[in-house]
Amino acid sequence: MQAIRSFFGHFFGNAHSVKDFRIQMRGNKALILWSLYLVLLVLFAMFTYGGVASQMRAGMSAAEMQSRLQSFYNTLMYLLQTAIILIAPVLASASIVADDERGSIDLVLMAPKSSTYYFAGLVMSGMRQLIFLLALSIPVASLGVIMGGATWTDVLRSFTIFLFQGLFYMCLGVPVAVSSRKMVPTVIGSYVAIAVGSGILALMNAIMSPAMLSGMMGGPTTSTPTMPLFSVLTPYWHIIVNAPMTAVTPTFLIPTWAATILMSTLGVAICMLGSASQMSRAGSPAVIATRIVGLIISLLIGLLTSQMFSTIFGIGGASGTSAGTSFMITTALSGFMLSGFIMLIIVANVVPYAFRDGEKYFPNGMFSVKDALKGKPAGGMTYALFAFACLFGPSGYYLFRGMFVSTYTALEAFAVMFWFLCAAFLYFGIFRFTSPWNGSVKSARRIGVLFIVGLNVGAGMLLAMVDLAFKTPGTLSIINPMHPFAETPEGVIAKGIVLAIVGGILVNRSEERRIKHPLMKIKGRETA
Amino acid sequence: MLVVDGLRKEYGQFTAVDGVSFQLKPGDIMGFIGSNGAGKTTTIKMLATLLEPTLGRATLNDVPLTEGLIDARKLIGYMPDFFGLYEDIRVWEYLELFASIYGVPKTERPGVIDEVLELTDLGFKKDAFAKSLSRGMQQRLCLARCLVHDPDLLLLDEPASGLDPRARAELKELVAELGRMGKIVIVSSHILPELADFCNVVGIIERGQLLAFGSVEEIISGIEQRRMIEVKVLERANEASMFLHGKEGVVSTFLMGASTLKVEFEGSMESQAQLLAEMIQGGFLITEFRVDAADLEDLFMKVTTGALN
Repeated sequence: MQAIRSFFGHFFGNAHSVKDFRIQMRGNKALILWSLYLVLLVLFAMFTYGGVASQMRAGMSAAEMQSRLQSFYNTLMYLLQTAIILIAPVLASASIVADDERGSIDLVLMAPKSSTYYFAGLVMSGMRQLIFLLALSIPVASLGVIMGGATWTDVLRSFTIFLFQGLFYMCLGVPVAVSSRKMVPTVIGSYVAIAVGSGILALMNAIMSPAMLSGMMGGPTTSTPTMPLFSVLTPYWHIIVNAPMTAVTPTFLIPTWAATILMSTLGVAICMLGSASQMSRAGSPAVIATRIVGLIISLLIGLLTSQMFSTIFGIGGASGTSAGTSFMITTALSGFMLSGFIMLIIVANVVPYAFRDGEKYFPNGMFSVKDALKGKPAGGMTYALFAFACLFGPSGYYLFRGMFVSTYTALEAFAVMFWFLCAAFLYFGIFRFTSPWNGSVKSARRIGVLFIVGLNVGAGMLLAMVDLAFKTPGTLSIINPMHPFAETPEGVIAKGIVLAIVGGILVNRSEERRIKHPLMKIKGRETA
Repeated sequence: MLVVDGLRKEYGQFTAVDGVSFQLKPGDIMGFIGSNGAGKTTTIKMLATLLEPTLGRATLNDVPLTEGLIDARKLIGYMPDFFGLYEDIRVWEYLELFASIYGVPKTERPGVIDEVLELTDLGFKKDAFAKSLSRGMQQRLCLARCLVHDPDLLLLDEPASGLDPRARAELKELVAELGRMGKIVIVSSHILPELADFCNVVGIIERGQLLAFGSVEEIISGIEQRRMIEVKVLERANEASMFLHGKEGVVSTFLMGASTLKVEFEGSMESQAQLLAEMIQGGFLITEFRVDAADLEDLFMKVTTGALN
């Protein structure tokens, strides 16, 4: 009961939110700002409607008129979506930076409350602004309903989606603000976070689209238009698709607004907990919660990939038909690429350590199960393995049920998964290797990422140049171990073994360095 | 009881605080002295739970300050060397924010706010905007903020910097009152005279190391075996000087006039008392017998000179 009260206390009656509300409502600032917004919105609606009305003519069919009116309504929705994309990311993040610059952040963070309480307060303040923004646009939206371009249900659904998407975009800026603590990098970083996040979601949509279009997602085969699960967080996607339902599995559909609430909540949870985790010590509730939510999201992404497998490979109760082998492999690889990218983000966050960044990052060993959720460096590898199991496990389950189109496909899929496991181990080795030579976790992480990018780009370019010089197009590029493409599955497995060996050498080298480091000899650390 | 045991903080290659240890009991007011960059603020931030020590531990009434932070933070009031006041917020709203996040029940908040405002003499500014207050009043408001949850330990980092003499005097009185209320107060400063009046304990930190800790007298006797005693006699100063030669602990004597002599003395307080008794028994009419007291500034210079060298 206490825990429930504490959870709701974060969001309702939050002291920071109350303080912000008092400040926001003081004087005429808010009144002037929102009146200006309303005037601009009405002017926009008048001009847009004028444009649409001028295209109407006598004798136009009802369907054509309906379409024109719908375009008016959609234009308004585009405007609102754009306003939310522009405003939401800076609402909470700018408050964090302002608090940091004025010094008040230290004062509030040393109160006997978790950092998530502080972030929740700022997010609730931001949410209030978004509600104002949407509430003030109701008169204009009602125009669309009265004229016949949309129904009140459409408006309600769209506003719910906008509100929760805005909440998610707002929270994307929070970890950026916590890391940079400067206004300009925070604002730019927040927009970049949205662009990158949208890019990843767009990639997922692209992966899912073939399955959707071929009737494997239950979409066009039913009378209700659907959209993929992760698409609900992609800006504009919901307006473009105008789908009322979301496909969770090929046979299970839920309303799009509900899917948005679900996915936003997960996104908000990981952003807020991740930010709190950055500011917390090893083993704190924020760190443990972040790691658990990270695994839940990994599992969700893993399930999504497996959903593709189940539909594409024609197992697990899929409604669609099996497609060709090349299509299957391409789609499977795309899904795995996404999981691999998530894996890299996880490894980059949990593996690097530093001797001088405090006890949270002090290297306390190589492999520890009990530290996996606590956030100590010894738990980095264990946590990465858990994440790998979540990301690739569900697909593996489908793949190894033995119901494949051909044995070749099974081996190919196994080879690709094996390659990803080896690549994850190489990344582990790289971040362990860059850690003892760096003063801080941040610099170890940056150099590790640069190293990985350099390795991927460098190896590809080098082999391509050799190919070019010897006029053997693509022959040598195929042996590049940094990607899982090869002539045969055995070739992919061999590449994985190469990566694992390099990773092992790096881990070994870094361990030698770690054990000999003078700071390991200080009293209290001898046993580490 | 505050027990600090071997606190150490490293930033990259730099060790900001190196094994600081001390103990304070309720009612103690500790002057934490050190030059800029000596490690005062880092130590205070570690005690305030804002920084994680690289090594070491601190407990307040057996509650660890370096782990299990939520419980520890209820016991601490921290006033940094900046105010961190929000724009457009009234004095009572500011205090209510902190009373709320420190878990003061809603029904008790108005009473608590009135009490701390009265203690800090800001009751008449309750509805004023925090930013409109004078610097001294803002400082007192920050102190009031630290007191809303009735902490056992108060950490005041450079509280008097930038204050005018009157505001400083008021602040000193307020801190002394907090000590009388049984709170442990740690006041850091590099302006030494402001601490001398109300601190019963002094800690001198330089280059991250706590060079001395204790009362001013204890530190003097710890670092300075020889001290200068000024003796005034009604008459026969020259004879008194001769009398003192060869007595236990007397290193040398200097005649400073017809009735004054200075004695360079090396010995315990008992030996010093014995010396006075012998002079009286020797028939000298003594009007004054006092040790030339080193002030806090002298003490700081003496303690830190060795470290700097």
